[in-house]
Amino acid sequence: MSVVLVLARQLFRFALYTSVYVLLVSQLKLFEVGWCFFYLGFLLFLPINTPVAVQLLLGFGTGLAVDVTFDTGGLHAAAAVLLMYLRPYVIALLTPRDGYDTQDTVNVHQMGWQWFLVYLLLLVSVHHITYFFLELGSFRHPLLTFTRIGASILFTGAAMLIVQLLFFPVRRGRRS
Amino acid sequence: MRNLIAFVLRYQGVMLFVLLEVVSLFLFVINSSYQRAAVFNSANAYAGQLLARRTEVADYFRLNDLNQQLLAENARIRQLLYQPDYAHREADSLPVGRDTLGNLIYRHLQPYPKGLGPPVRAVAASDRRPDSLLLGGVKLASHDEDFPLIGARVINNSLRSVDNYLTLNVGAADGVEPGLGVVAATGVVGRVKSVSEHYATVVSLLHSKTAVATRIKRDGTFGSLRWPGDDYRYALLDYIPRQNKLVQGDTVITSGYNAVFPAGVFVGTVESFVKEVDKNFWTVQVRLGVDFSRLTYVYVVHNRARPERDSLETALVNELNPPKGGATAKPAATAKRAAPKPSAPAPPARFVPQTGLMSKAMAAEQAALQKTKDQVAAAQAELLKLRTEAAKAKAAAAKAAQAAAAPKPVAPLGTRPVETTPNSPSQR
Repeated sequence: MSVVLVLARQLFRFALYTSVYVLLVSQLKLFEVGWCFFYLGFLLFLPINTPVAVQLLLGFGTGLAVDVTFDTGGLHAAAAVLLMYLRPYVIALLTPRDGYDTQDTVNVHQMGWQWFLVYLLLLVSVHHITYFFLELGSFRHPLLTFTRIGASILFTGAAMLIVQLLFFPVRRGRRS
Repeated sequence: MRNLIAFVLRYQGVMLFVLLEVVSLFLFVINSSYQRAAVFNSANAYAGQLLARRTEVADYFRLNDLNQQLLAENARIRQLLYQPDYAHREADSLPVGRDTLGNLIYRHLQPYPKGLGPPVRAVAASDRRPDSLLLGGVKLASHDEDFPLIGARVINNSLRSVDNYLTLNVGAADGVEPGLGVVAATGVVGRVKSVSEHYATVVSLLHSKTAVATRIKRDGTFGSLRWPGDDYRYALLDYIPRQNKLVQGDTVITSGYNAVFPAGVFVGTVESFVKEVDKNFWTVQVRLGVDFSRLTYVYVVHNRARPERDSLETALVNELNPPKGGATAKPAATAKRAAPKPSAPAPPARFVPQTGLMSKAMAAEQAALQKTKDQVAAAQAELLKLRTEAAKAKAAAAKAAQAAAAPKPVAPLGTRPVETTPNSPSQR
């Protein structure tokens, strides 16, 4: 796959995830406390071998785009940059016994349920904890904040899983 | 040099991470202050248009809801057109006077109106309370021609964050300016933060830095409303003294002290109140009149009199608190005057608990003012101490005065500055 094609594909993914989030998903809420950070799908499902610097810049750009829309300064960006910084470590932590293939992507069918769920929950939890405590700026209402974090992890995790199951190729080795 | 490049390449992840994190946190912190880069907000044209499109689509799914709201509001407005019951009431048994234009003369404002002569019972004239029948005839805030309303649509709204903002589909082209108040049919909503040509962002009442000058309608006790940050249906009412009686369901309205909102706009009702052991004030929970989760149509309130009133009140404060006393008070006072004012003139210091939607910058300015005031008070205390020393026997008086006089004058100024102002009786 040529470089231009890869870039176009990622650009399309970025536009899709952020626009769906801004236009639709940001309106939804779970139990009045949790909401779905749908745009994380773009960052979480980037190719595994993306350079670190590119990952960080993409996280910052995506977060800033959401921030501009929702008037939050650099809140989303800060959480997303942390998420992208930790992503390579989590991927390294979860290395299968025989290492990653060049063909491997973040895909629940390819990497298995266990791998995918640990990967998803770990990163989403880090992101949400950072986001909510940063937003509050203090530890004043711990119970409420943890309720929000829990509900949001549930919501975001379920949404990401649905995206995976619906739109990602089932057969191993067929990259699209 | 090669080592340096190798070092940079080796740690590029960490360094870039730190850099980007610092940039985002800087943007986040900047965003919390009142003034910020105009580019990064949803009032900018692209984000505003995007959100407007989204609202257009979403409207079709909520038409029924919107119609209900419009219906309720139309009913309320139509009601205002009708003549109220008391419009032509002749109170023959009460000493009500009319001036040459036929308006009622309120006896508590003018004890001896022309053409009526002195009242029959001269004793009661001074402490005559306003006739409660006439209070119903007081002009409603929405009728006041000093407060024209600009109708607006909410096209973006949040209520689950700690600091919530709204975006409206009106902007500078419609006459909206930063600092104006925003109200809905059911109560106070917030204050305009920044404006572009066709859009405006609003600091919601649900914001950690907001405080609205309010009053309990039943007895006129004034207090300050703030939002603790958890539930969008409730807010807290501060500075209600413990000795005041409260009733569940009391109506809370704006006091009009801060010239952002007209006096008498509904805010909410008292839901519960608790007396806490270590506080001088009630802890009052207020159920907000506005349902922020279904907010659709709002009005931007334009107060024509505000610049004039603000400049007058600022002059009054400067006159009341001249930088006299010790040399320590002077730098702070001059710094206060030299400090560049934000878009709206800073509210006067004596309104500390009652200032409108307070921004960080305003709070800082007020903190500086308070500091100056305390310093002046300390200087006065010192003067007092010197006088007492001269009057009494030196050795005996010195110790007692130092112990007693120093903290006393500071306390009333610091805790409740409103009571010390000369015009507070008229506010009751």
